[in-house]
Amino acid sequence: MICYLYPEPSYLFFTTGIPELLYYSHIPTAIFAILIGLYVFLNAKKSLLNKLLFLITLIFSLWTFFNLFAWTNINGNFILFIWPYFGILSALLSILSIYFVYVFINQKDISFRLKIVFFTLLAPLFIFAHTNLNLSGFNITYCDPYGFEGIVYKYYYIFVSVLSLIWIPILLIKKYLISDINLRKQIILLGTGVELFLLTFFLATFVASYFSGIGVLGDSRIELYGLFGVLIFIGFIGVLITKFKTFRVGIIASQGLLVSLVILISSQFTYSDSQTATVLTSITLIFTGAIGIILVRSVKKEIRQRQEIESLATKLEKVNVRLKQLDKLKSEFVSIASHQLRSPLTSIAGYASLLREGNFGVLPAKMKEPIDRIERSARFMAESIEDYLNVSRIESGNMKYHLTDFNLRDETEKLCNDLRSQALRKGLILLFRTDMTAKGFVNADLGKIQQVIHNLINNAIKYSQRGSVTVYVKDDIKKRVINVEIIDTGIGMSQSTLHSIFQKFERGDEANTVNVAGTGLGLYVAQKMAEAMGGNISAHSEGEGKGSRFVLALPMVM
Amino acid sequence: MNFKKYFLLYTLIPLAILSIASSYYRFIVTEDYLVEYEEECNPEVNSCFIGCKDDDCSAEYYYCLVTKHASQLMTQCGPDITDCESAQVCLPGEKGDCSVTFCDIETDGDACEVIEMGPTYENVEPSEVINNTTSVEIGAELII
Repeated sequence: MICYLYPEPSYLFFTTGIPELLYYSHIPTAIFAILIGLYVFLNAKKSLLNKLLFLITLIFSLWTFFNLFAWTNINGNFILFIWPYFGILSALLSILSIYFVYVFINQKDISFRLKIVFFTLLAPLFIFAHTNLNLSGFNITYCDPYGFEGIVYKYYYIFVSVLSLIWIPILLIKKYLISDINLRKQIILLGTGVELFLLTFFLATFVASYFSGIGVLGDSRIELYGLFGVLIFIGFIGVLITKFKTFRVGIIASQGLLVSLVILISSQFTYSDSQTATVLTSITLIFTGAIGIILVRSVKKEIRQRQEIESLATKLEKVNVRLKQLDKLKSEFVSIASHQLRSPLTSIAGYASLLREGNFGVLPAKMKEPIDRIERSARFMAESIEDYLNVSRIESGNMKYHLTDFNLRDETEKLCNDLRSQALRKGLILLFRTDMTAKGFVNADLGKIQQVIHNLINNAIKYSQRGSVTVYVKDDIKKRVINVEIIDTGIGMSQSTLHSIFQKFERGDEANTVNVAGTGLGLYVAQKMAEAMGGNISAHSEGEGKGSRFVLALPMVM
Repeated sequence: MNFKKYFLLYTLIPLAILSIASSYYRFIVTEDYLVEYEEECNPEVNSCFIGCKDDDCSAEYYYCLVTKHASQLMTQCGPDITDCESAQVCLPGEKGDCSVTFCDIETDGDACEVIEMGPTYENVEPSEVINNTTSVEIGAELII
């Protein structure tokens, strides 16, 4: 049905007898919104946040387009056809804004459950859009259906809008309280932008609709002002884009965007034939210009920073190439050390042993001492190389651990039995003691644990000139650990030595007094191995000359 | 996984399509809605609403409110009711919801204008006069 009192529009939208503000409030804002949304979306199509922003601007522009259509057209059928979508699009705008804020603060999609909640809120609006619950008629004198709008349906989508106005600040405040300063600034910007946008849109459209409906307002032209809220929203989004890279939009792209906005606003002057429209266009241009100056400054700063970063990146790349070369050299060296140094040393030690034992004929007595020295030096050198290789493996993360359950008490006892003869040769007593409540099982690499304990007992023998070495295995059920204590009556350690004894290449000052060769890597390797298997080694001493106590603690298997 | 990820799209898009199709069918194809409009009213005969011809209300006019079913009105007058006499009355045999509403002094007060006391009806049963508005139901004819 045709509204007989109004003139028919030309080109669907252009007609006389309507508020001058109408075109100004609808066309630029819708174009701004859709431009920004599309722009952000095209810069990072896979970003959910960008998709949601695009959807929000799309829904807003659609609402604006429908509203412009309803203002300017006189065919009741068409106006009624689009009228239900004002409520639906308003509610969609509200729900999408909540969704947008959720994704912004959590950097991930919302849960399926929340999607169901959103669907449940929106579904009734779609289902009842075409029914009398929403619209039952049309007034062709005033060319609107205000008097025929269903109260329940209308209050329902108003409820959804109000819900979003409450929900969004709650979300943002909760996140704000647990965020760092950078994110807090972004939350303030986004929160202010979204809330002002929704609030102006909601108030203007609701107030216009409600008061026009009850006849307080002559028409609903107040809603025209509500659309300017989107400019505030776009302004804040612009700051987020350039200052915080929130939407991953490029720097040059931001400048282009700003220029296009200014051109678009300026183009309004060409058809603003009234003083009101000219003043409003000027205000918008000033507003956009002010925001633009901030953005341009930010962009310049970004460019400078980017150039510095690029320069640093080039340098870093060169250094990285050099480091890779050095790393390769190091790996080659480790390989050489492993295969070409260790093997001959083993042969030297082996042949020296064979010579000493007379396998190549009886040697003169005066040859025995040199042969012994050759064998000891070769073995020390082989052990040193093994230590270096272990350090290399530990630091490169290539040390392999094959964890199995075994009885630590039994393994420690076997090691004591093996090393007892060595202790006896130095005139030391090697004692083995246990105080076990549980069976004594641990989950660790047997070979590595043997190596660690062997190293600790061997050290105790080396650095003790007289007295005894006691190996004491006991468990602590409460702490669920098994301790292997190696107590000697040797040279002891000062407090400063205790602090640095597990560091690489560190040897106690006292070690020099007993003329014992060492690389300073044994305890470092032992500590790293113990830690890798969930344990640790601690060193204790009451001072120089008062003996030492090393404790290997490993978690027990219950 | 994809269903959960795109749940809102998978559910709301079909709903939107159905909703658009239903609205289109109702409001454009079948024109199944009521139409309300102002019709000329003679204050010497009826209690009329008073309207202003401009914002300053320098000139007044009198009107009553007519409500008809859109498809019925379309059949009687076409899309434009200007100069359509059938639009001013509820005709005999007209399908539901047709009514002509006059101003009620008790409820609308100063918005009404009555020059002669009481409206004159012909062929209208007293029982068809509704409390606060004067309506003519289907089958009755109002002479203005």
